[in-house]
Amino acid sequence: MRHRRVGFIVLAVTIVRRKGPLGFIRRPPFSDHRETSGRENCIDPPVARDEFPVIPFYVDPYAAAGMIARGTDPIAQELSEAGAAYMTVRLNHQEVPQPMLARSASERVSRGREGRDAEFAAVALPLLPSIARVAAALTRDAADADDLVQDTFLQAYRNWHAFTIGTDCRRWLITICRNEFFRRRHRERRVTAVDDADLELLGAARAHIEARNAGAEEMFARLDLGPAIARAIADLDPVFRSVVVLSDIEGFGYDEIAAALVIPVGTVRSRLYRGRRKLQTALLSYAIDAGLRTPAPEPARRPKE
Amino acid sequence: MSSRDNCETIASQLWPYLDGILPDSEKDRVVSHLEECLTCASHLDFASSFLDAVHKASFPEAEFETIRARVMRALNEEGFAAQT
Repeated sequence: MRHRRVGFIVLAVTIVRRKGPLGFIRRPPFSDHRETSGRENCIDPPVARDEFPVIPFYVDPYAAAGMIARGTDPIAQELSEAGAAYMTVRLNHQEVPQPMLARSASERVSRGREGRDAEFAAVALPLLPSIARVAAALTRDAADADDLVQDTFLQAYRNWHAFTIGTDCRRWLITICRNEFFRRRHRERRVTAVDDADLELLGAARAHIEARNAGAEEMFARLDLGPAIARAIADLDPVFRSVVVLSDIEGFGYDEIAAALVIPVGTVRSRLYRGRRKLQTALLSYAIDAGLRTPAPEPARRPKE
Repeated sequence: MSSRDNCETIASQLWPYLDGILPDSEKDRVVSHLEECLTCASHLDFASSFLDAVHKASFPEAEFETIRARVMRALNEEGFAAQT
């Protein structure tokens, strides 16, 4: 009996030392997978819950890294579309649009709830379609995406004081959305094909050759592919969809996508190129079904002798 | 390097070129090849029209009305009271 008790205590101490006091609970369900299968075969490297670097959304990671939006600032466009007054201020040698809603943090506070709500309505709410697209790209089904959008805006509203006017609100919201997504995501073991950007690089030329052979080279000029593209993007596997949406619709750079999805830049590249190829294939089928096929030119006949 | 090899190299750089991530030296090489090679230039045109089409793809505003209403309800419960 005494031996049994000692044995139990030794076992318990060993577990606690190896895994911490909540060893059984904290252990991610896929930890074995990580040890037994090669990382190169796993498109979404499993990461234990505790290892997720949740970016505090009161720090704009992009602004912090000096990655101020290139070219025209989308916030200016969003503000003017929302009918909000804004002025442009110089910040870090760049013209940055600044809503004329509150000039300083103290003014924002003194304006109270009404001012805050007006600011939120003018700056954050017009970005809903953009966040809805990002949420749809991250999640697997529409209900999850809607939950994610709602939680993102609730979090943003509750923490609106932490948003710095003049910085990129869309990126701030996307950071919140991403953090929320990782918080609620059930991590699944997802093993698919090898990520290899080099294999996909020729896709740009191959798709063109395929389209030309099918007589559909002019598909982008001759067809309104808008609805077909929206459908084809919705049909993409979420792994590819998230990267394609962030890059080709929302206009993020490779580094920014890697930071948002917590994947290496090489993985961003391979998923992006592969996602684009899948889209092109889907669009080509659509174009052919839509009857866009110019008859192949008759081969030149040799005059009969 | 044969011209065929060169075309393959250039074709493999079309996405990075269009995404603006090629270093200057490689970018110059792609540009000078594209000026001479009609085939590669046509690949580039096709890829570029594809990206334009995706970027402009219309996502009907109506799609967002349901979720917008839902978010507004949740925000109102939270005390949000601005006119939108």
